[in-house]
Amino acid sequence: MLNLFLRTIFLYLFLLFILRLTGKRQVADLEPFDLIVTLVIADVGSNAISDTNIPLLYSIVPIIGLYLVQQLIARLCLKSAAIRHFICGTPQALIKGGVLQKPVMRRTNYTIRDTVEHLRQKDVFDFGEVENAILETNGSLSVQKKPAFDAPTKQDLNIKTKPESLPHIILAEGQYDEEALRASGFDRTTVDRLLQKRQLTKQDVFWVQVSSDGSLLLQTDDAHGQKLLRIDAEGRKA
Amino acid sequence: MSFIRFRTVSTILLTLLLLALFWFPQRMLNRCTADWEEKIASTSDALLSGRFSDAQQFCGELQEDFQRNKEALERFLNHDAVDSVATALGEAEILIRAEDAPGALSALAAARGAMEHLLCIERFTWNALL
Repeated sequence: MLNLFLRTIFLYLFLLFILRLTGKRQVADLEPFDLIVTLVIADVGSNAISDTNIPLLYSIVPIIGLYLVQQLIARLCLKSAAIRHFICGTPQALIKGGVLQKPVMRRTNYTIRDTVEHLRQKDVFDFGEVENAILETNGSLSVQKKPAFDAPTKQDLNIKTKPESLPHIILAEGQYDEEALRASGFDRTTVDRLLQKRQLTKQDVFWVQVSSDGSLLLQTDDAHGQKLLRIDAEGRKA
Repeated sequence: MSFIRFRTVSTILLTLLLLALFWFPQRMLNRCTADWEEKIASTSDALLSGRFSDAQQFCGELQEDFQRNKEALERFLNHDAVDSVATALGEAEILIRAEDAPGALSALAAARGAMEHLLCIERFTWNALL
């Protein structure tokens, strides 16, 4: 039993390492060759976990092999458009100028029901709102609405904007995130001092975020009533 | 180290590991099976000429050598396949002690067959691929 457990842990770590090497695309948008690699790796990994008669190498070698093939195909797809088209396919215009493209639907085995479902997922409930819809190679649908139905942007409404920085969670569950601190331009001493001004310590807050405008947004912990509090760079309530 | 460099280094290392795994296990298996084939041939000759004590000695050496390499073989070969060689050799040893030449020869032939199977698993042939 210990053997089985250790094999599981080892293979888990090995699979994690390999899937991490393949990149985040494995989890999000899967191209056909990514999908195959993920499916087969999962099966090969589970075989060696459950059957102790099989040497671990029986799983490790195929997993390495699949990883190398995946990397090779990914590189070939980057280098050659022809190979990319062959392996990943090409984006297909399912709706062009507001008109459903029947030949494309037939080619991609897409029914009207599938199209409507995908459009709904994009918050489009009326065919009449769509100007173009492209079926991407990873199976997702990109939708361009007709200008009349597109939400106006701040630019359309002539609203002045200023560049905003990304909000950063700099403290969570009593632990500072050094990377987020650096990115937000704050340091531990400053944050501790600002919290102190509100009679709080880092143990009294659940999380602290540096917002785009440079203010701190925080949530106190259970003992302090789980309150949301926004304080400015001087420690005043904002 | 950036992720891309880490991935490149890891990919190179994994490729080298894979190439090493193509080469070392097969080399070890070829060496072992060649030795064992020789010993099986010597044991069979001794059995055919009725020299049971010699046969027992050759078979004992064969068993010893096999047991010494068994653990290493099980790292890259299916344990059932390795065990089938062990079983056939064990049977042959018992039958030689009982001075049952035909039975021992048949057990040795089974051991040789099981070794061939080990070689087939590791050696690339179109038949094995298909």
